[in-house]
Amino acid sequence: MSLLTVEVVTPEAMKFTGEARQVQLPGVLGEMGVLPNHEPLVTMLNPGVVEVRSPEGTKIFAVAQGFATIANNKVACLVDDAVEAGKVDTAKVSDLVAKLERELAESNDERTRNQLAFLKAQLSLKG
Amino acid sequence: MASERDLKRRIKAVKNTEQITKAMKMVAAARIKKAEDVLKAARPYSKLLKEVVQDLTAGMDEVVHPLMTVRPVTRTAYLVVTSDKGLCGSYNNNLLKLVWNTFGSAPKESYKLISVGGKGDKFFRRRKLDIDKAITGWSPSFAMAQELANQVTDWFLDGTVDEVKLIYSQSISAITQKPVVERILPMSKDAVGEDKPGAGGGGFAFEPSADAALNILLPRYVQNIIYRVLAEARVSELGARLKSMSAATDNANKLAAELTLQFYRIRQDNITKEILEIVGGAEALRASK
Repeated sequence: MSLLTVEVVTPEAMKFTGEARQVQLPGVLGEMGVLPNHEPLVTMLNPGVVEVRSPEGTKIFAVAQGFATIANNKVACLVDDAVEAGKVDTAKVSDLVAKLERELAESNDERTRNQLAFLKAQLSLKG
Repeated sequence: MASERDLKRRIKAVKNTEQITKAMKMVAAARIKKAEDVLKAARPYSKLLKEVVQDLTAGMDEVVHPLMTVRPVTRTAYLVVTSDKGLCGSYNNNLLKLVWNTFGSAPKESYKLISVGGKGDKFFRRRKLDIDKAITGWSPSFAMAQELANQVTDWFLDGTVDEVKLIYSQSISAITQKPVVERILPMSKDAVGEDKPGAGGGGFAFEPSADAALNILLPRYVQNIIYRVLAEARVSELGARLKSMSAATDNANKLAAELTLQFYRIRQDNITKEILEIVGGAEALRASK
């Protein structure tokens, strides 16, 4: 069975490259699973969780807003930021969440909302 | 003529300075490597983003997006990237000269100014230019680029400004920098559609839609450009510092050598004089016997 090549890329660095049997993406139209031989697609991503399932185990990332390209069994997630499960600084993130929630209560800014969703995704990895 | 002691003191001072500039040179050399790594690490994202944008626009008859609207320019936003610290030769000077020639004498209503870097901040204050936002003590990060990009795109979209230009120092090679003005908004069609590799259109389907994709992709394109510029400006700055500190070290070295030579010459003269005096004195004593 052919495998997918998966890349998680942020503007600052290549966070992950590896192979997988299946990738779960937080698409804007809903959670989607990508299997090998998927048709070429570019999908926008909401802040959320990316799961890379490979024979060796599953890697989980919290990602910020971005998009993913799928073509020729290659999945590239280009996201503003990504944090791998287990590398989340819970205390710092919780503080930021509290701060952003206050800000969001005052002004319903889309960017703040996205940022908050990303942070919450990070926290969800812990639980 | 300087005395032996004066010279000795000067030589010591010059050598001390040489030590310091040498240390700074080495620090700059180490940092430049790191700064280049930052720039390199950004490449995969840039490349993929560019490919997708080209792919997307290739499939459209005409690309229309608010970030690409060309309006008559009544007000321009400038983002000027300078260094925080000095001792990097003419780096900031050349950059700020270009800034001054670009909009230094323009009326206040015709520009918005974002200043990155302590040197720029000082310069603008002294020249009494209006600064709308100043950032000092910076190091390139995507979060910072994103914040700056959001600011300028907001201004552009709500009509506060009609174009956005970056002024920064390009890094031509490790030791050559060139200050440049680069327009980032409105985005030109060339920037997003040109120089596509032969194959082009990978026949992607866009989800949820091509228009929605543009809304996500184009702002990221702007953010990415600003991030690249910040990283490049840092490489440039360190290159300039490396060059000027290396020159300073060489100069100190040369000066110390000259002074040492002079010191020996004076010492030689003094010794000769003393011997002459002693010999003269001895002769006189013998003659008087």
